[in-house]
Amino acid sequence: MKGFWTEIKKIKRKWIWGAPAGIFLVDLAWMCWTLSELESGELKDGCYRILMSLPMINTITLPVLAAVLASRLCDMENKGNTYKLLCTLQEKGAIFRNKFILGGLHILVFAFLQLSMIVFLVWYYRIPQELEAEQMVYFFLSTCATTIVLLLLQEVLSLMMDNQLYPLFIGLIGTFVGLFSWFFSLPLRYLTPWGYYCVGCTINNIYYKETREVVFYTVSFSYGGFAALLLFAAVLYIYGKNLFLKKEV
Amino acid sequence: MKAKKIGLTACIKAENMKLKRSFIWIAFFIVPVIPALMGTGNYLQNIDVLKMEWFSLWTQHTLFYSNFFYAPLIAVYCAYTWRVENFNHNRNALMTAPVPTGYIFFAKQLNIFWVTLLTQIWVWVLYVLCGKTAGLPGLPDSVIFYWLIRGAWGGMGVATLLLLASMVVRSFAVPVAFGLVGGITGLLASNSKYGMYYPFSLMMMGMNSNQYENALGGEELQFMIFSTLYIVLFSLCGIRWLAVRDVKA
Repeated sequence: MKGFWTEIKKIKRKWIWGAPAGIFLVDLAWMCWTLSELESGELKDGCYRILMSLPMINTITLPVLAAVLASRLCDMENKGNTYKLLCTLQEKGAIFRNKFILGGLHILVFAFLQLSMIVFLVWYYRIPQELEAEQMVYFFLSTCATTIVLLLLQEVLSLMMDNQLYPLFIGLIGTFVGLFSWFFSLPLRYLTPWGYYCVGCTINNIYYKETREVVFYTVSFSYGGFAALLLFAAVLYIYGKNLFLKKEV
Repeated sequence: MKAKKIGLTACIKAENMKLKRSFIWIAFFIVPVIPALMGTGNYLQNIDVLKMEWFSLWTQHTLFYSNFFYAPLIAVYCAYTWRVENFNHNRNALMTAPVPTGYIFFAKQLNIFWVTLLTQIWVWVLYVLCGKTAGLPGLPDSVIFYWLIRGAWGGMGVATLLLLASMVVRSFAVPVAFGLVGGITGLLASNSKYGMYYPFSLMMMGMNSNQYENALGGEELQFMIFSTLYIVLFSLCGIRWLAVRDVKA
């Protein structure tokens, strides 16, 4: 616990929360723009529209957010060249764990803010459709799980590489891969962690050319897919921590 | 003994040397390849609807590149340029060199400018290669090359802003996130009547992103004025900040 409080003290006045806050505001602006473009008739399935648009926006923004958060939490040690000192004062594995928990907490707060944003949008735009709690839970779970796994991946990269260009570059590439995954056939989406925003989206739509109508419908949540993602996260955590433990400081 | 003042050319040469074999070339080559592949794939999938050959391919290429990846890529260049100064007390050495502060900023800025211009040319090469691979006849209209160069000029304002941000924030990750957020807000602004006043939208409008016809119409002069204004404004802010603030290396 002491180590965790030390991590919190390290980020004092570092504006670490600036990146999640900025991205949250962009999400809000984007959703407001999308909803204000809709005609009143199209708002009848507004909740499903929001719950389908947000995972797409998250695919673009959250891999970079995870990369930025991990890089900021880890790069301060590179900059200050503090590893030698830190590793003689505390358990090396605890550094890895505490940075991960701290980053994860930021993601958790961000995901809660997104949930409250959905409620706000439904209220503000007077969307007549009922906001289903079940769909909100699925959205929250998929956002949290996917972003936290990406954060873990980025943390391993940021701790192992002195040059932060590579982890950020991988985060950017991840955004591409995530965007691609919306066009992938079903099994291919499961292959990369960035594709899980799409896997976790429980809303789909069909476009009828003749009537120019879009019909939204729900699909079942992929428990199997997310179990595989969590298994990947567990393996990555153990492997990443071992890599960091073996790293010469 | 009075120290001999170093000229702007020498500063530019020094900055160029810092880019030699640097990591930014990996980002330079790889990042534009992915939207090129995505755009071409999208074009081939919707070839029944997209009838304007090279122009249609252009809309698909710029759809992802200019909205989500152009600004973060410039941010990577800017962040790298300042990152080398943030280690080993290099900022102290830089600021105590017998060089006017304006030269330091201009040298870095010109460096970013030519790398950004090269990026745009690389995007054009990829666009032609993808078009030929997709079986398009002849070569693209020269106006598309003009749009790319115009987009580069619009991007210079953003590059100067991100260079300023990288200098102030001293984090590699934050300018990249700023670039992404700027790209998204730029997309929103370019779809409104305020696009001409927002630097990130100027970049997209200059590139004629996702458009068949010239998005600027009769507003070319206005575009040039605002782009130049932002370059001058952010440069002045940057030079002033560099001259006034303490080094704190």
